[in-house]
Amino acid sequence: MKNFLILLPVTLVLALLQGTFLSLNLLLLLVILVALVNPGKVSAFLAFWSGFLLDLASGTPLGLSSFLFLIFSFVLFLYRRRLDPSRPFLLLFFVFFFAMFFNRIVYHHWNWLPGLVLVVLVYAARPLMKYFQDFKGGVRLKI
Amino acid sequence: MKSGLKKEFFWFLLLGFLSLLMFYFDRRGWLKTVRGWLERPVLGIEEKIYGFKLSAVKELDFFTSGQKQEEQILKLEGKLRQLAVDGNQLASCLEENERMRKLLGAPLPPSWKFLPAKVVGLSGQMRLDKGEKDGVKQGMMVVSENILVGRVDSVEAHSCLVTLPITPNIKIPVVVKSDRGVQAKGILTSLPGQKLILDKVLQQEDIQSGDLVVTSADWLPDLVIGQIEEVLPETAAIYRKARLSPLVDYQSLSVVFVVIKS
Repeated sequence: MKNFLILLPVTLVLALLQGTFLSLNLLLLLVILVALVNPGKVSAFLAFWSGFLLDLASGTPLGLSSFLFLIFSFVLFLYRRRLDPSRPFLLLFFVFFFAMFFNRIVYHHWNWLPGLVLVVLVYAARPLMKYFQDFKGGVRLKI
Repeated sequence: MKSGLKKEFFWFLLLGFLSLLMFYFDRRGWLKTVRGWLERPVLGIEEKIYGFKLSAVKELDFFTSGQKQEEQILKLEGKLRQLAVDGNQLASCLEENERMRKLLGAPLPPSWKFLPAKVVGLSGQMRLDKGEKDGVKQGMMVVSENILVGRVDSVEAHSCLVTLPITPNIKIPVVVKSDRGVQAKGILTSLPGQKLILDKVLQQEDIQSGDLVVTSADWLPDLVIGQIEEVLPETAAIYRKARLSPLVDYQSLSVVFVVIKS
């Protein structure tokens, strides 16, 4: 839970930026990264809270983003053991699909570009995730 | 199933259920008061962030293009906008004059009121700092200098979301006007990358680059949206297409007006 408290101000800043001008869904990226590094209760709480803040900051119906983020976190939680280092494509596919799906549900149109950018960012963030996973000393991240 | 895993499932289920409940309550309007309280400080911060972003973009433009060029472009853009608006008004006046001649004594259309609103966000949709408590309702038009900015899509207590013409997959019924009069009817759509496309124009209609595209009677009529930049090459299709350039830079708007029909 300590990790969750550390991330609270970060989620607030990202939600405000996304609500004003940022079209890239960085909160989704954060939710995905935390779900990979720390799957389970912490990622569920973070998904709920991030979604709530995003809805509040962008004027979308309350609960919508929370629910979508929770679904994404849950899918990653279920597939956590299959996200193998030799096959990062499954993870990247999930990220791309999540971004597209989120856009479709919230903004009513398919937009592949933000999804592609998120895929690149997640791919680039893999060493960072591994570092945090090692630092945490928990189950090794399988990316 | 292990008890640890069960616990994790429980949290996902509980929070998922809570999200759905919140969504349902919000859609029913039962959270309007609470949302209003929570939104106020958020809107205040967002207004500042958006203002900062606009000034930062302006500063950046200044450094990249040089002051003189910037001033000249701004002047020309202003003139172009004014000319487009004047041209549209002239065409509307001519048409109205003709109608008035025919319908002398008919009642005048109802007067419009304008509610100024600050832009507090633009990501996907435009967010304004005026909402239900200020008299904003779903479906109202938003303009800037007689140019259509968008239509109010959803309204909260102190804010509203506006769908812009550049929103992908939007469909706006429009009319093409020029100094030759009303040229054609069509549908305005948008492609990813903020490109405006005029579609569903019959092949026999005469549309040319430079013609103005305005809203048709299905929306508030005669609000300028853009100018035809290029008529796309004719194909075997039934309809013609054209690429439009918007007459307003949606990214740089800080204040707009909500049209309240009284």
